[in-house]
Amino acid sequence: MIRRRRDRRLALSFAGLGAGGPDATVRDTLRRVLGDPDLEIVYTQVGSGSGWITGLGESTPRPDARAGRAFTPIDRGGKPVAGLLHDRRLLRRPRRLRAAVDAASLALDNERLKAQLRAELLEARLSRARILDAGDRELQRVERNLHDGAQQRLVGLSLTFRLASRRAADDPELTALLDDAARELSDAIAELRELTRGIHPAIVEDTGLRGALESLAERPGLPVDLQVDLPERLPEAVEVAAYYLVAEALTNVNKHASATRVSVQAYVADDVLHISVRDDGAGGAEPSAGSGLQGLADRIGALGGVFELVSPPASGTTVTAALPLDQAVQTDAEQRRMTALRWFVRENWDMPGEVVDQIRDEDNLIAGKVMLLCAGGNASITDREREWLIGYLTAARDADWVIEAVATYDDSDTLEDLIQLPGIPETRRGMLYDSIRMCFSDGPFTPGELSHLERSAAVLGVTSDELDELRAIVEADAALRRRRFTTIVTPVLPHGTTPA
Amino acid sequence: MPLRVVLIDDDRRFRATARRALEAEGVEVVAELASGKQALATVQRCYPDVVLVDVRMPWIDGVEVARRLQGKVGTTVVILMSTLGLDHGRLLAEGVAAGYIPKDELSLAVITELLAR
Repeated sequence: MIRRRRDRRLALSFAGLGAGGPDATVRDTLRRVLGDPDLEIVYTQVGSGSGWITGLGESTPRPDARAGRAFTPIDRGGKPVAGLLHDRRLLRRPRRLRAAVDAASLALDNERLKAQLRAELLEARLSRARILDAGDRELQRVERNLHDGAQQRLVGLSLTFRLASRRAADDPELTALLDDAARELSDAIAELRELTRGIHPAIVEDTGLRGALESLAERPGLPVDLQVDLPERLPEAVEVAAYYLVAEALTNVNKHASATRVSVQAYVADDVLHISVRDDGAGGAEPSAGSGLQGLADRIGALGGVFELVSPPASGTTVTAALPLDQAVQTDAEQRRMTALRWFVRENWDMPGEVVDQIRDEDNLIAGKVMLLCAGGNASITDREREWLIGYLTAARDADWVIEAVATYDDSDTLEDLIQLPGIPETRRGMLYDSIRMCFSDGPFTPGELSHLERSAAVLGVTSDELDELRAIVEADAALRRRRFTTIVTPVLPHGTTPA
Repeated sequence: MPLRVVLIDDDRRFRATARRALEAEGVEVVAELASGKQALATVQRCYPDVVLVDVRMPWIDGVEVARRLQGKVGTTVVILMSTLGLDHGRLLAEGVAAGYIPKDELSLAVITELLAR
């Protein structure tokens, strides 16, 4: 009797949902009626049956029961449509859980459709961002080709003209001709430089947004009051969009606004880049279709950002944009690289793949240097060991410049200095372990290698017991690999072949 | 005494042109390198007055070469060069090199002016 009354109350709770009752979502209602403030709902994608999405439409792996949590799937006609991740203790009250799910049934269907819609919107945005990204990369390639090709040839020609003009000093007419040609050429080089800058702003890639904005502010035109408070680097797509926005806005100010002052402000708050360009000119600007500003609004929209143009007549113009820094857009090649990296950290370290999201190229460079220095540096290791290290970094998908920098590293840092850098102390055992593997790659440890490793362990604050354990792991691993070789490789190789 | 210069650029044709132009002004090009890999060893061997290094090179770029030479080459001055604009180049040179010269303006006079700063 009590139970039936409670079930009816549940049904009434959910009935309120469709009418926009006080609980905004079915999740909040379920959280309340089941007394589990951390309850989460996931949905299967309509029409796909395989992928799972959150209520916000974001892809998510199928939730597994974790510490203290349980997963209860919700089926329709034998097919999963949603699932609850909830407090494990609710499993002791299966009827109540069932009743809540039944009561929420209709609301869940609605929520699932909404989640599906959000997922499709999100996918559409990501797809726009991917198209934009592919276009940017193509333009970057064109810019590189122009730089390495035509521009390089023209500057060479310009030097040659100057040389010819010097040599023709006795012939004023020829000198004048050559100087004219040199001037024409200088203009062509300057125009080409402007053109390539418009095709792809390499300055953003080279100096970050802050440097790129400083360079914009220094260009001819109205003096710019620049107020920039930015971290060193932001996601590339965000930096490029912000740069284009400021460049276009400043061009417009100089061309049309009859302004006396212009200010540019850029800062990051709550993982959003805020950027604004404000002038005191004539106002009345409108982003018409096909205009530079409209193109920028589209670019910013594709990155999930917001663009605004406020330009009342005779009251100046303010262009603002807010760009989220969390850009999940990845090209196919980047996605494959991340998959490879996640595989690598799981396979080598049994660590969750997500840790790779936090590793930067600079961290990899320091790790490579530490691995080298632990073994005495590039000056001490054998060719075989260097090959192991470079192969290892390549397999770990380190950036080309990092690999090159490690391969040619001149051992000029000290372990004492490197270990002070942020994030490094936590990884010292891993780096020492890799260094031990490198030393072992060309056969048993030599006395020299052992003394380097012992000294390095002491500098890194790794005890001699820990060092012994790391060595034992490497040796045991080698024994396991010999077993693998005997079982898998030996039967198919000529008699007597030994491991590579 | 002529100004002694090491020229680092992955573009062979530009190296040849730059060498010809500089030598015509009495500059002595003591070494040419196609990459920054051997930069430090070369500078320590030749002791040039100036190292002219291209910004954009594969593998190790000019900024990294300048960084590697920093504090290790005595009185040798490192100057970046490229086809990039002056503002762009100056930003890159900040803190790692004595300055930046757009390639089409490369001359003894411009180098001397940078050295005088």
